[in-house]
This record gives sequence, C-alpha cells and structure tokens, in this order.
Amino acid sequence: MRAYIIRRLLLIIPSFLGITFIIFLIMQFTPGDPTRLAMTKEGGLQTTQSRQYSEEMRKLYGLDGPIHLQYLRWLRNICTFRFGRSYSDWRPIGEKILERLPVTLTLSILSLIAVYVIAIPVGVYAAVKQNSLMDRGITIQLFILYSLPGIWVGVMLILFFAGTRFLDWFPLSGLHSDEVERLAFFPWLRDALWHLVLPVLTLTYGSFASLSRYMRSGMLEVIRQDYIRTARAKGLSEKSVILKHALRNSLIPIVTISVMALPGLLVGSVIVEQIFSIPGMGLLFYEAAFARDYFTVMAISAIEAFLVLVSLVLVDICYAIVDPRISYD
Amino acid sequence: MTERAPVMRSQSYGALVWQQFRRNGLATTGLVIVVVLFVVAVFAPLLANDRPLLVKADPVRPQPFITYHGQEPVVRTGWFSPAVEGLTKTDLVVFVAFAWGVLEFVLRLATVPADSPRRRGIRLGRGVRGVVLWSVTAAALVLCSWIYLGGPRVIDERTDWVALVKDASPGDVLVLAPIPHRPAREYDDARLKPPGVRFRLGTDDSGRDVASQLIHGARVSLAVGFVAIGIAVVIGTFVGAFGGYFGGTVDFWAMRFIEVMMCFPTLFLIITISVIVKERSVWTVMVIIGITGWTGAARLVRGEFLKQRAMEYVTAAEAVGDSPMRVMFRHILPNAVAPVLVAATFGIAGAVITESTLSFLSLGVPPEAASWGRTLSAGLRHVGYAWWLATFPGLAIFVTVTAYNLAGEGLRDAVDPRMRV
Repeated sequence: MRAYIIRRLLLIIPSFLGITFIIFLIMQFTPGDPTRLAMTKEGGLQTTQSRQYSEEMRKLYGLDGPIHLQYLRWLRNICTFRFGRSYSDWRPIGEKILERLPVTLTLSILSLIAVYVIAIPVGVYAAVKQNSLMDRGITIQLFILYSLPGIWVGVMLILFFAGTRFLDWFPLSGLHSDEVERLAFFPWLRDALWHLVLPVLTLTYGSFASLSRYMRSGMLEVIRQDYIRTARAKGLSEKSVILKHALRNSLIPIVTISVMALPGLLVGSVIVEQIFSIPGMGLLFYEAAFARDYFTVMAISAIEAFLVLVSLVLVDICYAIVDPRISYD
Repeated sequence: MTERAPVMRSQSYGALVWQQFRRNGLATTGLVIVVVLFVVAVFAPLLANDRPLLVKADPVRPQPFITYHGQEPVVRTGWFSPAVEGLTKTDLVVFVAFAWGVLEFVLRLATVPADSPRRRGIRLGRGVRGVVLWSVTAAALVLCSWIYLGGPRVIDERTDWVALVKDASPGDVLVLAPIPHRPAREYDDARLKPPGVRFRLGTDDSGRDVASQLIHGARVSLAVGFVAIGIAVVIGTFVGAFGGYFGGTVDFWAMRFIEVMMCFPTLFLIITISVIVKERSVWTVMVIIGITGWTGAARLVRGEFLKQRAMEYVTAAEAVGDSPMRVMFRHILPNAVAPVLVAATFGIAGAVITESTLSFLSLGVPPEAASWGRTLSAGLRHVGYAWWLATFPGLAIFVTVTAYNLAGEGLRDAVDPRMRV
C-alpha cells in the first residue's frame, strides 16, 4: 500500500508537467502580443519608442528566447509562487489572488457546510424509508433541483427575493452595504451574512441534490448487505443499525465527492460571482480572461489544475485507506 | 434435461432495452419532450417567422403587393410562401435530414425484413427498404433544391413583412406563422414589453420577441448539445478504446492524458478558449464543449474495454487473425456502447447547460444567433421589472435538461438494471 501511495504521488509530476504545458501552449496560440495590449492601455506611444518598450517588456516577462526556455522559465516561476504582475493594473498577481481568496473561501465553505448538513440526513432518510411517499417526494424534488440550471436559479432568486417586484428581503448584489465600515462588528457580520444568503443558496442547491442522490443510493446498497442483517439479527436497535453500521460504510463513496469538492473551494464559481457581482476568484478569472490578462489567467488555471490533480490523487489514496477490500499490486 | 426446453424467440438487445424503457413512464415522458423539442427546433423557421407562411395577393388590391428581390421591387400576384422563400440552405439541409430520420424510423417500425420470422408488419426485403429510403430522401432533396433554386427568393431584408401584413387588403389571404416575429427583428416601439397579445412572451431590451428567440434558441441549444457530445464521444471512445484494449504503456499514457484533461475545470478551460478564439460561431462553441468534455466517455469506454477484453469472443476474434482495429471497433465496441450512450444522454443535458451558461457570460454563440442563455442574461440586466425575460428562457433550459436527464435515467435503468439508483 505504501508503494501504491508513493507511486500515485509520483504520478503527479508528469500530469502537472502536461497540464502546465497545455496551459502554456494555449497562451502561446493566443492571437495578439500581450505586451502590445498592455501598451495600448497605457496610452499610445510612438512606433520606435513603443517597439523599444515592447522589447523591454518582453524581456521583463521572459517572452524573449525560444519557446521551450520560456516554458521552463514560467514553470520555475509558477513552482516558486512568482506569478508575475497583472497586465491590467500592474499589481503582483499573487497579491490579487490573496485579496480575492477570503471572499471565495467564505462563500464556498459556507455552502459546503450547508450541503453536508442537509444532504446526508436527507439521503439517509430517503434510503431508510425507501419507496414511501416521503421518499418518492424527496427523490422527485432532488431530481428537479439537480436539473435546474445554475444561471436560472441565481437570476430567479434575485427576481423573487431581491427585487422590488416581489419580495425585497435580500440585497441585489455585492458583499456589503454602503458605508459598512461605520458599523460595529455584529451589525457588520449581520450585513455580510445577509448579502451571502442568495449566493450561498445558488452555490448549494446543485451539489446538495447530487450529494443526496449519491447518499441515498449508497445507503440503499449498504442496507442490503449481510452485515446489516446480522446487526439487526443481533437485536440492535434500528437507530444504531442505521447510524452506526450502515452510515459509516455508506460514506465511502461520499469521500470521493468531498475530496473532489476541494479545488472548487478555492476557485469558487464564476457563475455565482458573476450573477451576484461578488469580487472573488471566479470573477477575477473571468475579468482577467476578458481583459486578456494572460499571466493572471495562466496562474489561476495552473493553481486550479494543480489542486484538482492533488484531489484526484487524494481520492485514490483515501479509497485505499477507507476501503480495505481494494487491493493494490 | 428430460423436458424439451421451450423455444426461445430471440430478441435483439435493442428491442429488449426499448421494452424496458417503455415501461418507465417518466422516462417515456422525457423522450416525448425531447422529440417535441426536436421538432420545434427543426421547424423553427416555420414556427416563428415574420414572413407569412402563405400569401395570396388580392387581384384587385389598391396597391400592388410588393416584395424586394435583391434590390429590385417585385409585384407579387397569386399564391406564394414568403416563409419558404426565406429558408436558408441550412434550414433545407436540416429538413432533409429530419425527413430521412422520420422515414427511417417509420420504416423500422412498420416493416420487417423479408427473412425475419416475425409475423407482424409489412414484409419488405432489405434492398427494397433501402431503395424506398433513399428514393424518398432523394425526392426531398430535389424538392428542396427546387425550392432553393427555382422561384423568386426573397431573402432581402428590405421587405418589411410586418408592414405588408398590417396593410393587407380584405381580399388578401394571409397565413401567419404561430409566432409572427423573427428573433433578430428589433421593434423600436416595443422595448421590454410584458407578455401580451402582440408578443406572447414579451420582448427584450432591444425590442426582440422572446417567444421567437426561444424557438430559434432551441435549435442552437440542441445542435450544440448533439454535435458537442458527438465530438466528445468520438474522442473519448478512441482514447478509451486504445487504453483499454492495448493496456500497459498505451493505457498509462492514455490515463495520464485523461487525468490532465480532467484537471482543468471545464468552465475555466472553455472561458479561456472562448476568449482567445477570434471569431466565435456556433461551431466553435460546439467544438470547445466537445474537446473539453470527453474524459467521462473515455473512462467509461476504457473500463468497458478492460472488461470485454478478457471475454472469449475477443480471444476467438484474435485467434482468427483479425487486426486489433477490427477487434476493437467491430467486435468489442458494439458490446461496450450501451454505457456510453447513457453517458451521452446525460452529456447532452450538460452541454445544453454549458452552452447557455457560456452565452449567459457572453462567451457563447455570436450575438446574432438566438440563445436561451443570452436572453436570460438580459433577464439579469433587467431583473427589477422584466420578470418574463428571466423566467421563460430559464424554463426552456430547465425543461430541456430535465427531459434529457429523465430519458438518460430511463435508458440507464433499461440498459443495466443493476445501476438503478
């Protein structure tokens, strides 16, 4: 098993090289020279001057020299967390990312907690009461939630709960009200939470539906097993059978999903942040992509891809630890 | 055995799956909705168009009925169909393809091959069936090219159909399309109109009819869904088949490739590509979704190939001397195709969502093409009062996605009852 884990960890290396190479290639194919783009932003310069300036910029960004050297240099910078500066406002990209990170983290952690707190009980309940009226109702509702497109849910939530037309319960967009700095801590917190309700709801419902569905089917699978019959035959109470014997084993597939949710935590959701104008990582990426701010796009893509890669490996390792039936050569 | 075994009438795998599928009411409903959406998408230009479907100009009109043919004004008399005249080449190709599909389906249902033991249905030799199919398709093609080449084609936008319809004299015969607006037409006098008699589902902020946009959006949406998933399935099948069949080093690198592709969050990759692609069209959106979404299919096919490779029929095929390609695609693939089909059905639902999301973020299809996501983004801009802009396009996406998911679940249960959730 240790050999398996080590081998799996080592496999990160070729995959990461592949990923960064693809990111790099995509950016190489991009039409238009990024340095020129940055220049036009800073006001038109005369041609000779601008060419000179362009050369300097290229050198600065390491855009001179053959492609493989460029790639290696960029890779070295990424690995040492030197992401460079953003084209659009000349600020260090690392700083920009760190600034956005707390926003996205708050959003996604809240949503993650909400998902698990609701989804697991719902799934277990539906499985235990299989084929009851309640189960059917839950199944259909989950199916509907699962099929709802995120963009629509976001817009409809705003329409119903943040508009002047129907209910004006929640703020339309952003993270804070105006002049929020004047408030004391608790009113400030209340204001922040107030702003977070709709985005978190939009972020939550989809993963809630799929997680509950997984939970239900996982639980159903486990309940049919012999050891559950044994536990019942021993005379254990139904509660203890379900919560102790069945639940633990049915959580195995959930481990996979949870680990795969990790990278999403940091990057957040472009859609939700866009709909509710929340300045998080997703919006940063979206804006950077639109402004052709290449180094920011590349940095975020690389970080995100690396996180997914690590999660994939973690899933495999978790499986190996959690489920001793799986054997590894 | 002492008793004689009962004679088993052999039934094809497809027929079995279909039987199972039919028993599932929800899945059948989903399929029906999918078919309806399909028909709406195919006949969109006849369902939502400001050109009348059929016109007979009154011979004693005070003013002649004038349409523009290129730059030339043409006086029209007698019966003619502006909607058909306005069809594009794509429309005609879609119609012919649709006719072919319907015919194929009907022939399959109504006839049995001459050598089949089944009693029901019209007995038709395979050759005859092929002749019928192709001759009718050829007839449709000829008809369409006749429509396209012959007759005055009024594609010039100078003709103001709305005004012509408004000024119709009592003797004119006018058959209007159910939604008498084309999606791109901007009515300056009717911006952000709520649903009413003139605009059934209201208008958007440039005065375009929402109902018409939804009908034409169905076309974009379904086309993107099918083509994108088609691309994804083809790539996924190749990568998965090679990895699963050859194993070893090939499999190792195939898996690394899949892993690398999986590591990109699809939406991020799509956003990056859509931003750098210079001229976006419906086709680039299809290709982008296709080349980013094949990993699931590849993993499925690989797993299925790993399973099938150990079977005896594969060994037999190899022993006979079939080439690896033949074994892979002729022998194994037909046995491995069921889970891929299931995944593709769910994939179409996903692609419909991805397309609308991209258009919502204004990264999708170009502005002149109608798209549900684009209309929905107008809904977000005017969320304060234009509720119809947010409601209807979202509902369209939701119904489509639900229908595909229902059909997919039914198909999954029919293909493999053990996978039932």
